Amino acid sequence: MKFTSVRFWTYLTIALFIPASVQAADAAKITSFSLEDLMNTEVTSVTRSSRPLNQSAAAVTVINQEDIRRSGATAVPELLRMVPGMQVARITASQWAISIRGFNGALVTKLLVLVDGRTVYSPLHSGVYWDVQDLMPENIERIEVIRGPGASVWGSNAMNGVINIITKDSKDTQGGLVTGLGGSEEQSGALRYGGKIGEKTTYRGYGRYFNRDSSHDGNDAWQMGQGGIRVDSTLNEKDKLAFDGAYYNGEEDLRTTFSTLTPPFREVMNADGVISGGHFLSRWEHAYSETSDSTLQFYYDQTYRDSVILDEYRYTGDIDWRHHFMLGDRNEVVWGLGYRLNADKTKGTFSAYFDPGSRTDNLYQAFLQDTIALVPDKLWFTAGTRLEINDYSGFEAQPTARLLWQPTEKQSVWGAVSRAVRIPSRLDHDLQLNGWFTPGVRLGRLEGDHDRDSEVLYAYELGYRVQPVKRLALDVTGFINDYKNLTTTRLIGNEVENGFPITRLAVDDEMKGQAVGTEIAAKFQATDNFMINSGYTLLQIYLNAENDGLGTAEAAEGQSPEHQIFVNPRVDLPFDLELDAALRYVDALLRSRVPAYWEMDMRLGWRPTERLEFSVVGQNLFHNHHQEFPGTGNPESQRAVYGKTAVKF
Amino acid sequence: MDRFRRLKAALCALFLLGSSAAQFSAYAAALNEYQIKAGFLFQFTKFIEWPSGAETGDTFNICVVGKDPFGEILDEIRGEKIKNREVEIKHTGPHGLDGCQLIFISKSEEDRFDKILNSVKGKSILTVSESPEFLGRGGMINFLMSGNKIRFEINDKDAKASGLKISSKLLSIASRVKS
Repeated sequence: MKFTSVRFWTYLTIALFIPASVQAADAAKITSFSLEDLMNTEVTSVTRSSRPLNQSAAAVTVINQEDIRRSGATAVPELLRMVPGMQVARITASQWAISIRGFNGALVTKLLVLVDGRTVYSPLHSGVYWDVQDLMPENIERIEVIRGPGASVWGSNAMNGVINIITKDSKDTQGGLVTGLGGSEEQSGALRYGGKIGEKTTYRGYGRYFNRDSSHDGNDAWQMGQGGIRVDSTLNEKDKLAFDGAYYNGEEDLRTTFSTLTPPFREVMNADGVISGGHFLSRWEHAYSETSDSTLQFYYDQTYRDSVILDEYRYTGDIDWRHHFMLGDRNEVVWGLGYRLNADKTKGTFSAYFDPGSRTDNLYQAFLQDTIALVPDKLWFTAGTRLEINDYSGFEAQPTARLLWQPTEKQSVWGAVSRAVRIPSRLDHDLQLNGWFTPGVRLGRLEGDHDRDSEVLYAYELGYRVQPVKRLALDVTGFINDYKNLTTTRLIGNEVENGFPITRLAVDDEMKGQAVGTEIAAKFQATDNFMINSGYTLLQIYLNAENDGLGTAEAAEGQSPEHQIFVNPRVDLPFDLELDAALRYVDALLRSRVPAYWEMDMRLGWRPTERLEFSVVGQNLFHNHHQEFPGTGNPESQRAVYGKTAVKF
Repeated sequence: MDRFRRLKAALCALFLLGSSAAQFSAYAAALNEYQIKAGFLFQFTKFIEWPSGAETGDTFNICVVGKDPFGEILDEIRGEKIKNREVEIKHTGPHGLDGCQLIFISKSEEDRFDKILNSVKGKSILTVSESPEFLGRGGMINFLMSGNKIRFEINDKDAKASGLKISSKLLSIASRVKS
């Protein structure tokens, strides 16, 4: 056990005494709100309140439209680099490893990602295909990142955190917009138009296409086109309807290790993959009174992915109802019910296949959460739980208890204890993965196991936010995550199959461990024209495989950087010019021998009129190429430069 | 492992301690509509240039015409600095607006928009209101609601005619610009 109390007390001391907090919304004084803050602040009456997220008893970061525009990022994953507590690494041009509080990898299993309330993690392996979560940046309203378990309200898989991407109401995208981007690593164009149908209904339609170049030493260029519509209708003062649909289709160059029973037995292949899919979502919001409202949401989502060694079709239907109301003066209650149907059809190869090839699963969910104002305007206690029944592990309960204390208007302290689970995926139960230990001599096979239990997390969090002076907001969070039933493998035996000796392994759940960390965010508005957004992340993971379990996931100890820093200054210059930079330090990944690195992006923007914007962006300026995460053939991210024009009409 | 357990117990104890320490002060509740609008009024002035002639006098005067929906909220801005001058908040009728740099015309004055706007025409006074008719009548900035957020639209044409220069940043985040 490498864990020591000294280390723990260090975290606690940091969490308690280094001043901290979130965005300016913490400040009571209205003059301290920036234009962007005001644009993003929701109007709340005293009774019917969705409290601003950053005053909640959880570690929350909000990326707003201005952050998105000025980051120069062209893909959602790149935006997440400005969130403390997150690990973001680009593996290939089309693949990212993205995690919250560790266990990073190409398919991170402990994260829930939602786009307008639609879950986009794959039940095949519990990971997220980030390549197809490619929204037009101009359509994003905000991205909320909640670190720590969020399952009690947000849903399954929210073990280490939730990423909630919210797109704009079509009311906010009226008129036309054309964007064109050309650069060394990427070319793209988009067209969007929004209008009105009658007095009460607005709509938008958009199309976008991009081409992204191969990374250094990679075979991973890709192209994707997408289009979508959204319609929002305010029927009357009490009812709102929203419809949203989109379709995408793309092609990816892939490099895959392919195993066969005949010579050459094992080869690294360069091939083409296809990705396509779409969704339709409808939502009805109804207000019963000032203090009671409900949302009914339905969506259908379909994806197809051909990755050479495995084809997957997936069909998801989901219906979700939630009701939010005040019970007396002091209790704010949210409860809801949901059902999800998930069906897939896979076609594998000897390298990897699923047994059975097709499967249909049901998920039934219910949740209840109550926030009690123990002392009005000062102290809140929140208790809630999610109950669900799934086809893999049966019944699961995911409770949380949270306390928020606001001793003065400029600071708040919160703490939380939660239990969360990661239910087994198709991969855990049904995977058959074949590979050669020595080509043509000895085979190995990893098999899914129906007895595999859910991964379980008990999380203990403590946070402090403060605005010591008007222009500075600090936020510190410390956490201890206590895991059990993490993935291991166990030896089934050595046999002979198809004339070759084979070592059979099964997926198992015999690992325990802890992750401990501290996340610090600081936002400093030095002058009206100059601000710095910065953060520091400390993360340590200690894992122990037990009962002869082979510690496959012990690798996670060295797959996430221990220290991370980002510093993003933003300056408004005369003549309508904007200068932005994003400097980041990412510590070494010890397990996969990826060295520590410093990198920087820069953006120079010019907005001569409100309808016109030009920008020049340089990405990864410090190195010709650098590795962020291990991938087949070790591809590396390259320095890139692009120019972008956006015209509104 | 023992130590680890003890520490977790300590953490839990801390939370419980928190729940009894109840005698502390206020919490900045969620913002209401006019707190946000007051915030906007203050921010607007940072993105608008008044011609040098209009910047005489010791104070920057924000005048509310008609029934004041802000209540005490605007008092928070009083005494702050805008364009290096201390802010003064005044409540006035449709007359006596000459000394104002910014006037907020209440919805209660909808019937008198023309009269009020005519009386400040050509003077470098920023006019703000919250009525769908406001821009059409020659007002400069109008608040509106989008979902549960506050948005605004700008009449850059009449602002320019009055010698006010509105920055492209402000224009770019406006829901609609009349130019």
